[in-house]
Amino acid sequence: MIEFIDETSCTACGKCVEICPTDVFDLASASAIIAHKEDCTSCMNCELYCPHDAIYVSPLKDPEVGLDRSAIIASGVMGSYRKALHWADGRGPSGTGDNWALQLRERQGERPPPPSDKIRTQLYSVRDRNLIG
Amino acid sequence: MTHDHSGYGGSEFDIDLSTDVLVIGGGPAGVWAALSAIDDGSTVVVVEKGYVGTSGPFGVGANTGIYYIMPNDREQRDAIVAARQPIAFGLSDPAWGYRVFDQSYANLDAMAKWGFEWPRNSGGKEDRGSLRGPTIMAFLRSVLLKKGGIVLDHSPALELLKSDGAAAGARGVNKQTGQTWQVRAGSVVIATGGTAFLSGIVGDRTHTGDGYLLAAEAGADFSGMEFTGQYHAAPLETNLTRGAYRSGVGTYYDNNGKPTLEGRQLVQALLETGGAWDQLDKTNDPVTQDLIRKTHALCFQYFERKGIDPFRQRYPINFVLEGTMRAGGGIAIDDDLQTRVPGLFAAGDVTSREKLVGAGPPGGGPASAWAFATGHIAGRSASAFSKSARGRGGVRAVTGAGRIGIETVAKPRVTTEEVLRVVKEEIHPLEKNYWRTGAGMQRSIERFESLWRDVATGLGPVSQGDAKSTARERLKTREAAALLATGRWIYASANERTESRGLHRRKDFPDMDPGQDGQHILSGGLDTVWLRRTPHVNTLTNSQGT
Ligand SMILES: Cc1cc2nc3c(=O)[nH]c(=O)nc-3n(C[C@H](O)[C@H](O)[C@H](O)COP(=O)(O)OP(=O)(O)OC[C@H]3O[C@@H](n4cnc5c(N)ncnc54)[C@H](O)[C@@H]3O)c2cc1C
Ligand code: SF4
Ligand code: SF4
Repeated sequence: MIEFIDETSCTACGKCVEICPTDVFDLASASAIIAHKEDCTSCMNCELYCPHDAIYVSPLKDPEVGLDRSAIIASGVMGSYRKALHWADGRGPSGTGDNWALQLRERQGERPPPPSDKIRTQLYSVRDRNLIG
Repeated sequence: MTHDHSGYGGSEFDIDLSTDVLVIGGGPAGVWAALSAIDDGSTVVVVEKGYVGTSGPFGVGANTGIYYIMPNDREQRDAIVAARQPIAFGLSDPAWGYRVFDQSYANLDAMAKWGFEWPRNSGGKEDRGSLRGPTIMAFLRSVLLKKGGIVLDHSPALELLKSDGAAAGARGVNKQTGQTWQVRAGSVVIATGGTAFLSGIVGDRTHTGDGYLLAAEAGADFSGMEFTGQYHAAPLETNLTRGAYRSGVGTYYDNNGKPTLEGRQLVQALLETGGAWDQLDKTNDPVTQDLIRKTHALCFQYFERKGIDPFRQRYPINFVLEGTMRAGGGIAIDDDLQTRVPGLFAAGDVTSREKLVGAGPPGGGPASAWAFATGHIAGRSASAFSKSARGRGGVRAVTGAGRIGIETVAKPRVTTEEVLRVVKEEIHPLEKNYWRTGAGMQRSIERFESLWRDVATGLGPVSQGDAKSTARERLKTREAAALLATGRWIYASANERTESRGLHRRKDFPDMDPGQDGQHILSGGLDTVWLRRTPHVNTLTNSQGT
């Protein structure tokens, strides 16, 4: 659930207001503000879209009690999700931006699903035939 | 009962548009419907309750697997379609399998041509089988805008418009500005997704079954609403019901530390030992662990931000309702994705997905293939209808088809909070909806029926504040009414099916009943819920399918 906006980084650009699917934010003169926290659906897209890494969404479904804002900011976690999905360097919105999933598959390649799981076994046996090129 | 312009505070709409095709809901199905209608030469407006790009389960940044099968790999296509049939329990149409997988393959191919960059393996080969929702949706949004689609974000539809018995557009509000809008159209595609009954799973807040109510008011019906007992595991603190990150490496434990399997055993563990746990303890390889962490960055936000090491620590989990999302039941559609209402089409999660998956779950690949494919087909069908004599976009006289919770009421008989409380109490609990019983459902149905009588005559927005709070109030009213209506169709259908099959489990009828093989249960109705059994028939000829 959305927890806070770091007003010192926020430039009031309005992007979070534009993209939040549940209209949690309002735009005040100096920064965005959290106006309807209870409507947050924890999708984390505000973190993904905020160009200034000014938003912190907690992974918890309920509001966090005793959350330490300055410790969170100091920990360097602000913007980490945007980096992980490659939106910070601009690759994200036009492509997957990495091949971790494929590397993982190559690494785990030797482990087929249990034969009792017919569908997964079927998918597993043909998955490399789906690669293109 | 029809009415016109009432409830909107006058006859003027702040935004009044006309278009060939109106798409309601801008998830993957809606966006593909819009794209294919545009490619067929139609003008398109998409109205979206949230934001096209971030809304719904697909707008969440987990990895969504999509089925894609090389169209020329005969052996593989046959094998995958065949592998699906045993868990469809006799209610799917294999030719639809081929059709869906071929069409979604074509959609992915189109994306590649428009410049989407798919990941490549170490040999340089491309993989299109895993989608990161917000990335895909941001890309498709930009294509849609480039092709001239008009998108109204933050603009939920509150009622459909009809003209001469055919669907002719919709009306709604903008949640941010409070403006009212009307879009007249030659045909309409409903793509509003499923609903988890606000169980709180990530991304579900916009998903309140609005499309079912819109469709029912216009005269559409439903199929397979009993195949909706869908729940999924999630870390207890998060409601993030995504399992891919633990696939092949995780172990579930009951509250006494005994390993347990996913599904029924896990539910048993929760109900009987009072809790369940998860640990990714089947890999010690640091490289694998690191790749899992990076691949499933969204799910790992929880572990990283809360300081949990899921490879070495057990963390508590819960089993959370996903309802009609990742399930089978929904609006009944024909082979053109048309509902029973002329000019009203439906696509994606809001439809009955039985043609593809029967009574079984569509998650893990088929669901998004269905959204991509049915979106595309519905858009093309809607475009054709709009060009036909009955369509002729936007020039006809229209009336509002909305009935429930539209008009302002002076003295409400019931509040939205009360409606939501009752619906959640009857639909969320595992012991009521994962394991259903005739007696239990009868009690839920009675509660729903008495509540519905109050809702039908005495639930409406109490507009007092400014335009924006009035708009939000109107939406909340419709959401509550839609959830209650959906709950009624679900339990009526589930009560009728006196057996267990796929995503419908009954404690009092734990086995499949061969006597009910090949029977679909249709449902519908507002004041009185009706039910009808209908035999399964394969409607697509093989030449269409393959
Ligand atoms: C937890 C989870 C995991 C999943 N994982 C997978 C997977 O791995 N593989 C797979 O194939 N599928 C998966 N799915 C299913 C997949 O996400 C859906 O099938 C797909 O998103 C359906 O697309 P859709 O466009 O039909 O609906 P949605 O994506 O739900 O979009 C519906 C849209 O309609 C909008 N809307 C709702 N009401 C209104 C209204 N009144 N007016 C205007 N707009 C409205 C919503 O805001 C939303 O944007 C998963 C689903 C869930 C819930
Ligand atoms: S997107 Fe970020 S910088 Fe822009 S208004 Fe929102 S919080 Fe501020
Ligand atoms: S997490 Fe999603 S719903 Fe919550 S504030 Fe951010 S964008 Fe809005």
